[in-house]
Amino acid sequence: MKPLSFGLFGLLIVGLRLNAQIDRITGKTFATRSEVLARHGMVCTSVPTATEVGIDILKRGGSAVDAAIAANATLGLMEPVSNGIGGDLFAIVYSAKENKLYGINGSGRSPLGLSYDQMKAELAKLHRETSAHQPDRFWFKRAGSRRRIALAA
Amino acid sequence: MTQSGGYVEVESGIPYETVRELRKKGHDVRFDVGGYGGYQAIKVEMHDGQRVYVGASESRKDGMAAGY
Repeated sequence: MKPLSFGLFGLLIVGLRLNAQIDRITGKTFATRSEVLARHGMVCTSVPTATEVGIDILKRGGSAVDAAIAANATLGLMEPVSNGIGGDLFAIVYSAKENKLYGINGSGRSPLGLSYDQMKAELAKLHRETSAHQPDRFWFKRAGSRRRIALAA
Repeated sequence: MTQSGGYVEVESGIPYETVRELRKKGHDVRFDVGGYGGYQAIKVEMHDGQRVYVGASESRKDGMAAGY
């Protein structure tokens, strides 16, 4: 019995320590995957298929926002427990054309009986030229340059 | 030390020395399976005037970073 229990104990220790790739040539021992490098575009999501959809949108001339919308639409199908149309959104978007940063905090509760028109009216009240919160103006008018491509994906 | 009622859960990768020190300071340290979140991120680096994207999807999730 003694050698057996010693063996089990050893397995437990190994199990605790092998939670990362300790035998990789370089990098931190807690890291398991290397970062990906690219020159033209990059998409990172929690589901490989959603990443592929985002990359496809970029390759077809879509903007980063287009790719994000398409990837999220895919995630809503592939990983609905974590993502989807009803989810929260936090984003910081840089517009190279204007050399400006836009921020959106799309989090929190939505009233059940709220209509689209009421929502747009409420959002309009929030608009200030210097404010980071310009969701309606930015996301609905500027962002969807390739909306049809995104929806087709 | 008094506790405010909260607790902290740590992953198995956290050294036990850290857990011990946290407990000494009065923290209620616990272990849990999952629930530690995760991230995907993209960093932009400039190399000789060329833009290079650095993407990552971390090991807690089955995600994927890809570029072209």
